[in-house]
Amino acid sequence: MAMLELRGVTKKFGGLDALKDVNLDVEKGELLGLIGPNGSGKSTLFSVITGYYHPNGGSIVYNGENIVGLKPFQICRKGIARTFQIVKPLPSMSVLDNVLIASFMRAGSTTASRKKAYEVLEYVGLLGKKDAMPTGLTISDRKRLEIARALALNPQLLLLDEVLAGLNPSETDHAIELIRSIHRSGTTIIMVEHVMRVIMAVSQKIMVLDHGEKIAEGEPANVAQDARVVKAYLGSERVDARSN
Amino acid sequence: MTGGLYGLIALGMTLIFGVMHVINFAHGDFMMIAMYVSFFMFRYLGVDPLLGIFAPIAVMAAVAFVVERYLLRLSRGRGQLILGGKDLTGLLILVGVSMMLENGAQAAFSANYLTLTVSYSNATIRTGGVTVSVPYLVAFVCAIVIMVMLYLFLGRTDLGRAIRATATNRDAASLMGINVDRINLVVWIIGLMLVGTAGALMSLVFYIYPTVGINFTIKAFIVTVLGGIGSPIGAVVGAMILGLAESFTAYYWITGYTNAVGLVIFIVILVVRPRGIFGRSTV
Amino acid sequence: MEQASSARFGFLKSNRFRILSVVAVVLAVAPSFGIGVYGEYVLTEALVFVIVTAAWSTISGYTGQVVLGPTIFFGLGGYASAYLAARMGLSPWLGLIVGPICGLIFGLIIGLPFFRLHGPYFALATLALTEVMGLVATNEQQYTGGSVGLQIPFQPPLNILGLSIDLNSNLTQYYIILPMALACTYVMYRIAMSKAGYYFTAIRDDEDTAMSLGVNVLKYKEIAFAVCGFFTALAGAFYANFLFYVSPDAFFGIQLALIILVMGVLGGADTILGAWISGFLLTLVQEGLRVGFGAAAAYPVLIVGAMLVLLLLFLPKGIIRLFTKKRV
Repeated sequence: MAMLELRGVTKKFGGLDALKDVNLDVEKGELLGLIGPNGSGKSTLFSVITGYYHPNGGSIVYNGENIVGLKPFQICRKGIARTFQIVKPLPSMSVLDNVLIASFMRAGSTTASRKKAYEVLEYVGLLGKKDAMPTGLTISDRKRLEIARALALNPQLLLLDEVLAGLNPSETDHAIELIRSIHRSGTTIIMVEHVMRVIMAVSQKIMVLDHGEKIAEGEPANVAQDARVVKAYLGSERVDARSN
Repeated sequence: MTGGLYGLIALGMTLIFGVMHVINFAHGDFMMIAMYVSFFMFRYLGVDPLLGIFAPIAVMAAVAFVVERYLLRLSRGRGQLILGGKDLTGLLILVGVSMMLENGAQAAFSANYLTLTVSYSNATIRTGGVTVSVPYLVAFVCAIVIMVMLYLFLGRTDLGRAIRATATNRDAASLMGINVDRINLVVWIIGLMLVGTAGALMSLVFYIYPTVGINFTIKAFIVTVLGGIGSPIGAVVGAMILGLAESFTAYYWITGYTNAVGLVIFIVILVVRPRGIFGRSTV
Repeated sequence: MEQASSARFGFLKSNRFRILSVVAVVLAVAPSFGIGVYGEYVLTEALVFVIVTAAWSTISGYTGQVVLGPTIFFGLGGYASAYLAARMGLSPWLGLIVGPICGLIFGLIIGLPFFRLHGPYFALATLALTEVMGLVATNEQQYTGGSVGLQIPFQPPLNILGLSIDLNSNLTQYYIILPMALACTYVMYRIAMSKAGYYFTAIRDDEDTAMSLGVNVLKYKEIAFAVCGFFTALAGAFYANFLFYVSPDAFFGIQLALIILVMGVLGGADTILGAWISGFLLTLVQEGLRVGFGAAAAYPVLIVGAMLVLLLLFLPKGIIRLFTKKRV
């Protein structure tokens, strides 16, 4: 049985179908890339999985348990963590405190949580800036903070929503290294990305969404050639989305 | 009958809230100032409040200008810093203003209850078995007239449309070339002028004293929320409903709870249907 | 570890503790310096409001759910004490137990519908509620003594360990409220520094993000509100004993509610210990103005109102932020 199974997940907003009958299996330890043109429902999918939206139909089973209807914090406890496309650090708290809040969930006491927060910060490379306030951080650091917070929750499944957006090439490389490292340590990852070369290179499996529907799934090389995928992105039959 | 007056007061508040997203806690206190102005005009210049209605309105406009310029504008830039963030900022500042106005008035004019009696203050008209007091009737009629005028203004004039645009979507409005700051100022002034009119009318039928405002501010809240924030029609309808509910309570239950009825309605509506009857935006 | 304000030992070594100890000692010996009965009265009142302000900050400043009507709990506690004494013939000091429990439960119950509301609506709802409670207190003559309120009779002395303690004297009451205020604020401080306190702040900053970090938002809002209710009611219960009466205006009134608001903002809404500054400062200012201008004068509140406006414009985070930027 797969770690995460989505069957027939549908989400409507008023008259708009954000997600239509989406089926997905994510195996434990996988690194799945989720791609699709803008507005195809990727972030919505994340929001539905993490409990921010209620699906209109379909089931979401995680580790054999139906998680539809649970509140976001409950889903956190179950082991799914998420980062947001537009980073949302808690503005009035320092970097350390931001991560601390997340660590409380697993660690319990203030001392243990603090220790864990230190560890996580060191892992992502933000320990030196632990007392900085989020407004004073670069975008790259804020993204790392976002990841750090998610990691502090000890997730089995990590949903990364466009963590590479806005990063320059060298920052992107660092971020990829971090993501790979997280993956190696056993965390299952679903990544939404627009930077094609990255996601094709990093993912084991790719799923493509367009207008809320899954239009392709499989190994990166195959998906890149898929005519429907090409059409969705470029509106033509020529493709240049192979990894470089 | 009281509904008409409530409506007038609430109109100002719903307009201000709809456009500026500020809940005017000092609304009733501004009305109190208008009442005092009317009173002094009458007492010292012998001018009937209705005829001399320009005075309180003018004073209100001036006061409005000062308040907006110096207080609200300053606070707008600091949304995050101030307690409660952007939503509460204006409210809290106006709380302070309210305290100052009420107590300033008390210090200046003493806490005595004043009345303004005109020749027709106690006149009544009888129609079909119902006795209606003339001043109330006059106030009611004026309120309706003003509401209609306001409706036309918002619907037909350019300025009115600009105001409605800003109320619906501030950012879009500014992108379309509307000077949002100026609209804020205009709306605020109009709101207070409405309240000034209400004050002048009120001075005919109510006691005038420093803390008369707070009760009306609360009534205005209730009506605004009930009728729907940002909706003038809602304000009118809500006012009627409140007026009726209060009359019923006084008549069939205990008079002391007349005020409570409105408050309970307020809480219930907020919890159950925050949009109110005609409201558009979400709370 | 770094300058810890969370570990027990860290606190004992910190500046806060030192300052507070000095304050505590000064207050403890103050009566022997000839401040007189009036001085004790004023200090007692200040201490009551230190507790109320700290409680208010817990829900309003820390958790971001600004409460405009903290008097709902204050009155509840006060009337609990008074009712015990005037209608049931028991000692009103039992109110110090009954009151807070009522406050806590009331807070939990009211929170459920109220926390569906956000920002100004929540604030106004609490204000509306305090008005309603005031009206109920005014009208239910039989239970609450109507607009005149209830009188608490003088209590017989307490005999322990061979000592006879006069519970009615200003001095005794002062020595009751002083340790109470210290204990209460300490407890609230510890809560603020604990996991709960951090969760409160997360809720204030961004509820949705907090939820994605494992925070059960409703539960913690309820906890904050219950804490506020507990301590505010406790202060109210004491205050009733202190004044020997309760009345709707004095305990549920909007004017009092707003003064508490100003105290909260003055001391720093997002601090617990700031309450010590503003509780005293504002009480002394008001008393001073009352003495200067006469009891019925409007100046005290006028100036308080002006203070609020000026604070919000220029010092929105309170006086304490002139001294420290840290969590306190």
